[in-house]
Amino acid sequence: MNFKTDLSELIKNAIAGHGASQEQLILETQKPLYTFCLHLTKNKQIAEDLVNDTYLKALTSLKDLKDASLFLPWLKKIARNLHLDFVKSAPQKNQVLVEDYEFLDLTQGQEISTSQIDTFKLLSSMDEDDRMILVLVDIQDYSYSETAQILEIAEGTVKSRLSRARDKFADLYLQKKDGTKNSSRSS
Amino acid sequence: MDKKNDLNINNPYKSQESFEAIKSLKNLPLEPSPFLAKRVLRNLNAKAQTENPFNLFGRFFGQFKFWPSFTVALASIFFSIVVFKTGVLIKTNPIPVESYLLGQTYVIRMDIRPLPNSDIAYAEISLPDDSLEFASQKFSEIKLQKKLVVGWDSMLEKQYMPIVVQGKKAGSTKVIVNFYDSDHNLVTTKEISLYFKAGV
Repeated sequence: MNFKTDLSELIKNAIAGHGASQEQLILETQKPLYTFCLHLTKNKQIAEDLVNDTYLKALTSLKDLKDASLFLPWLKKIARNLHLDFVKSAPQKNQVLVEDYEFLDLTQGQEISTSQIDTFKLLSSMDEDDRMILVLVDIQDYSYSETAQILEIAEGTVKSRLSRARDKFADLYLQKKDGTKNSSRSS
Repeated sequence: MDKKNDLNINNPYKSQESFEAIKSLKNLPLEPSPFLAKRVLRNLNAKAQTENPFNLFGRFFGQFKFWPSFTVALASIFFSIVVFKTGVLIKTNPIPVESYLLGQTYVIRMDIRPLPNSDIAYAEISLPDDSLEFASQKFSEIKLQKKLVVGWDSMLEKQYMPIVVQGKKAGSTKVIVNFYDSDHNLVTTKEISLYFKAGV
């Protein structure tokens, strides 16, 4: 299936209540949305709940989507706003430690390198603003303007925040690397 | 194209290594639960029913004020079923051997009684394939759906659940009704067998 070509048709059918089209829309977009939500919430269960709530909101307000090609960024914008509401309403529930990650569970048993795990944890330790801008631009390949729309900030803010986030990540990465070297030397 | 991911163009990372580390996360095999899509659709249907009890079926069945009230031998402990052609009774017993005409609209009436010690929250009505379609004169879009969810409370109020279908392929087919509790666990299943043949 050519997703981009058929997206408008799928959305049209989904608006009409066609269950198979709704399911297809979910299947085609759930992985990047889930990844986004996982980086956002840092917890597998909360991420799945957020994905669920996002689709519920999106599929009941599909008529509001002006441009079918923006479906996925629109989903992420909804997810982020729902997450913000969740954090505001129950901040204590969002206190999830990075150590809580269960990578084997997250990746459903697929192979993953130690360096990927370390990088994932490092990214997870960053502030949400910095983390999400790196996720959107450097991992999920969104343009500055798309990122600006998802995060509801100005494009200039995206650029400045990205620059700062990249610097912070590089510092953390080098610190971690030096720390690993030092600990291996001392042992 | 305003992507600026190239280390040498703009806002470079302080080290090539950290840049490559971030990029390596693109290939991280993060997968949601394989049941996530089904979960969303189930909740979507349940939400629609909650916000608009009895939804299309309820509005459609507003026009059927006078139901012939009899049940047939297919009755189980909890349910009894009457099948008749819209407005005109065509057969009472036994349902499984009766054949119906393709393209005609039929109403399956599933009588509902409260189940002791049960926690049924909603029913999901499923059509197996293209051999059957849901039908409604007023809400023609319902024919595109293969599953409908009906809230248990709305069923209890009416004491029955109407299912309106049209046969699209000759031969045996069935309607499956799954009953779920509020935690989306399957409580019980009811299958209604039908046989369609081409019209005279």
